[in-house]
Amino acid sequence: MPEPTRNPDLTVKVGSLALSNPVMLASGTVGYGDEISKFVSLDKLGGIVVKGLSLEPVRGNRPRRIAETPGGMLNSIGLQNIGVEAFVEEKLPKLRQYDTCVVANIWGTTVDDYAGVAARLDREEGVHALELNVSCPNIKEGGISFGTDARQLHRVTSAARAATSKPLWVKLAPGVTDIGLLARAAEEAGADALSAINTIRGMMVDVARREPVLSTVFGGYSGPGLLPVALYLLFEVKRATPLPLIGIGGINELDHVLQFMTIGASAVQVGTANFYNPGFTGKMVDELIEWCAQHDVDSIEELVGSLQLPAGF
Amino acid sequence: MLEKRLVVDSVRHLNARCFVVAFRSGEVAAAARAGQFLMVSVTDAIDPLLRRPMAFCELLGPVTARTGFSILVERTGRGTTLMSRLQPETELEVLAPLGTAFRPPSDAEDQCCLVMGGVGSAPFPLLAGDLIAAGHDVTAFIGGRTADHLLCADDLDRLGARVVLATDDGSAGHHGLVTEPLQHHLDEATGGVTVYSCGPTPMMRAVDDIARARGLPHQVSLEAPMACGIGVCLSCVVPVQEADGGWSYQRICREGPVFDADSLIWEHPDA
Repeated sequence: MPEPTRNPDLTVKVGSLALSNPVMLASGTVGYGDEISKFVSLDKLGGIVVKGLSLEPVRGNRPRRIAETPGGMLNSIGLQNIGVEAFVEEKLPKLRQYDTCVVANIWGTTVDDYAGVAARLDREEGVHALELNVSCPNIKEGGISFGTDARQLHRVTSAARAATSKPLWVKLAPGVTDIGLLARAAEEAGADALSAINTIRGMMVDVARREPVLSTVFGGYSGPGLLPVALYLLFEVKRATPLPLIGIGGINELDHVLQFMTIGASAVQVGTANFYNPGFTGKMVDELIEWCAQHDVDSIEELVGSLQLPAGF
Repeated sequence: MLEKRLVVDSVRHLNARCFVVAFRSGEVAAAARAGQFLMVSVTDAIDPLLRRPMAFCELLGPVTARTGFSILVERTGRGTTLMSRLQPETELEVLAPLGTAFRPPSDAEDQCCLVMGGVGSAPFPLLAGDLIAAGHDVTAFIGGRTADHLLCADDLDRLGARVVLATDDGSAGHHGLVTEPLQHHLDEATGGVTVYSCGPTPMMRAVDDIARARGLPHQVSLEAPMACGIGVCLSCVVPVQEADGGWSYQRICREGPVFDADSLIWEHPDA
């Protein structure tokens, strides 16, 4: 006799925020949801993290902005975005109609910028959480990236915390000696959850021209090649803090989603896969339902943090 | 927009670098317009990772019952090298049709000059067929480094276009730039002319100088490395003139690939 059809519970909690399932769209890979919604219904996903918003519109870097690499790609878009005001006026009304969590990724080049964007979004219904992109240079502190210096990270997170009562996520940058230190700084400054990781720096060279491929020389590496780095860094973050986690980096099949969750991610964000397979996240949700049924998992939250480490580790 | 797994019907090699891949899909062919493009996967594996943007070159089968379409590809890197080894019956992921199409001349009486260089010939067989069917007189100016770099000459001739060749080394047609016979042709032309171009940027820019000087409408088809083809990665931007005198980046995959040459800023504003 065939097994009765099960309806596994895919809901997950990221702190106080409940997601209908753990599959989210990562910032910078789906704009504000307009185009991608032709390939995957946003209602079907746990959430969408919109393209990083700044106080004013930003044009972005001059081309060339992209390079393919073995197993991935480099980008140097330069945080092109329409600005927080245009987002609220033009994009948010449409996003509010979806039954999904809308997370606004925000950034700036000063602490006040971050606080300003956070304050502007704090009064907007339909923004369920804010995610700080801290992989930006602090122009008032000699261009040191907020995300690579614990003191800076603490300061910018505290400022955003003071500006909003919405759930506050910090998206950690990977290019640091001890990501646990940064994770604790964000936690102490009042972050509600941590997402990890952002892209890792890389470069490619056009040998015929003796030039870097990207106009900005180096850019952010993403794609399947990033997976083991992202899994390991999430593992280190998990060891450093009890905060809820969101795993990001190199997801290209359901097994990768499950690996992040086993380590301790309550949810995941899919980025580069949206470029080469725009319907990918919808497929992940379907496959997750099937996987739960096949493995007698009643609630996907059972998987979160279930990693068994070897004795003595 | 369709997301389909399509079957390769044939691969025809034109020379050591260039080849034409025909796909079977009446559905995609029926939706495709001249100037639009598709994103096609190179492999089902993750390397090379990204789909490649390719212009529709020709639609196959009768107008009322299309059976497929072809793309013209130049082998320039790993992805296109793998594509050059495709075998019939191979299945690839295709997203199509994408982007803007060429627009017909605003004057039904206009003659049309299609100016192309190298693999920039790709979108012109389809456009030439449409223009000729609509009653326009069409001249195709095809440029390349050598005779071997002139593409689609036979196709354009077969469709009924007048074909003018130019090579840098004089191995076929005019010895020199493709814009030289274009200038000569325009000097002799009577009545309205609409210009279309696709090829290396210096060529399109030179065609634009000529068209602007004569006040001729000019549409260009651009290409750029892109990850998604649907407007979300923001890789394929070009600077475009705004009405207020400023400029902004527009996406080749969404606001293009066909642009009015008037709107383009060939010299990057920050340069």
